[in-house]
Amino acid sequence: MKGKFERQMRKGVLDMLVLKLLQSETKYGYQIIQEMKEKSENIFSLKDGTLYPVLYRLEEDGLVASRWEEGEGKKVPRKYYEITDKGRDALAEITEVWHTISVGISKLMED
Amino acid sequence: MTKEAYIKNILKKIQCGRDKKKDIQKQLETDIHMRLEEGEAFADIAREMGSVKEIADSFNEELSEKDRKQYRRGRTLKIILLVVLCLAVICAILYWVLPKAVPLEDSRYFNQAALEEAMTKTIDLFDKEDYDSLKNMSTPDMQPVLTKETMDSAKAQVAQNWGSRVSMGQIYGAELIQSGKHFGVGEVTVTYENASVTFHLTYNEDMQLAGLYIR
Repeated sequence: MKGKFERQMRKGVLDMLVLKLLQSETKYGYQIIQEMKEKSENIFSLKDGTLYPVLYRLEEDGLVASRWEEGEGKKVPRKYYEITDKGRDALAEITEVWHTISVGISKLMED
Repeated sequence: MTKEAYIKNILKKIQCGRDKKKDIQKQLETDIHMRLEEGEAFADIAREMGSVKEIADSFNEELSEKDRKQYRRGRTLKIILLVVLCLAVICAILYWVLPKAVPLEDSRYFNQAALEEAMTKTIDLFDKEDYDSLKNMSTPDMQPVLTKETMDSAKAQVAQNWGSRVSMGQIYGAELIQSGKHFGVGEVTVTYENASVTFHLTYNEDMQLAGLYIR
């Protein structure tokens, strides 16, 4: 039961977290996974299969843009993701919603 | 499972168009490569990334209607192409197998005079019951059939006692092409004292008797 709720809650905040991580700089997919794991102290340990569909959806919604960059020498090419202006606006809105919901949840969960 | 099989199995289950699949493939290969460079074993990488089903289901859940339409269109096209290909193969087989008739004047293998000569000789030998000579001018497949016993049985199907030959009618011939082989076929009605018999004879390209039918 706990696992199911946990998955749903994590899924609900994923868009916001990915946009947040891209706010400061352009990153590639694996880099997003590692940073999310480190900064959340392993609370958000994403699998590629979870992250990439989100990135594709954010890109289709125009919130992020991607580009492939050829690797130097023997390095493989990497796909970099960058937040767009629309993505920044969306992040601001989502963050506000998040704060509002957090306050509401905290009040409801008080004894 | 190898890295290639892992990625291939994931892509097979994702229901999107070809371009997006190529992008996903490139993405997965890049990620796996980076982790391998960091010294991780592929088995651990696959466990971290997720199972084939997990990854594919995750992608499929997030696909847009545009992706789904592209996938359905691609699949429909493939089915249509397959059906067309099967039909083409069936038509080609039928064209090859079904016999086609060519007038003798257009034939490169047979002519009316040679066919008439062969048919006249065949019927002469048949009437004389010279089955050994008939065998000599027949294909190996025909030879076992050309025995007095078999021929008498065949004759009896038409009439008990044909009597002597009275006359031979006009010989009608054509070339028949079947399964890439060419045959000269001819039909003639021969009148006997007690019966009127139609001979239907077939010859191969070497003018060997390949078929004999009487009615």
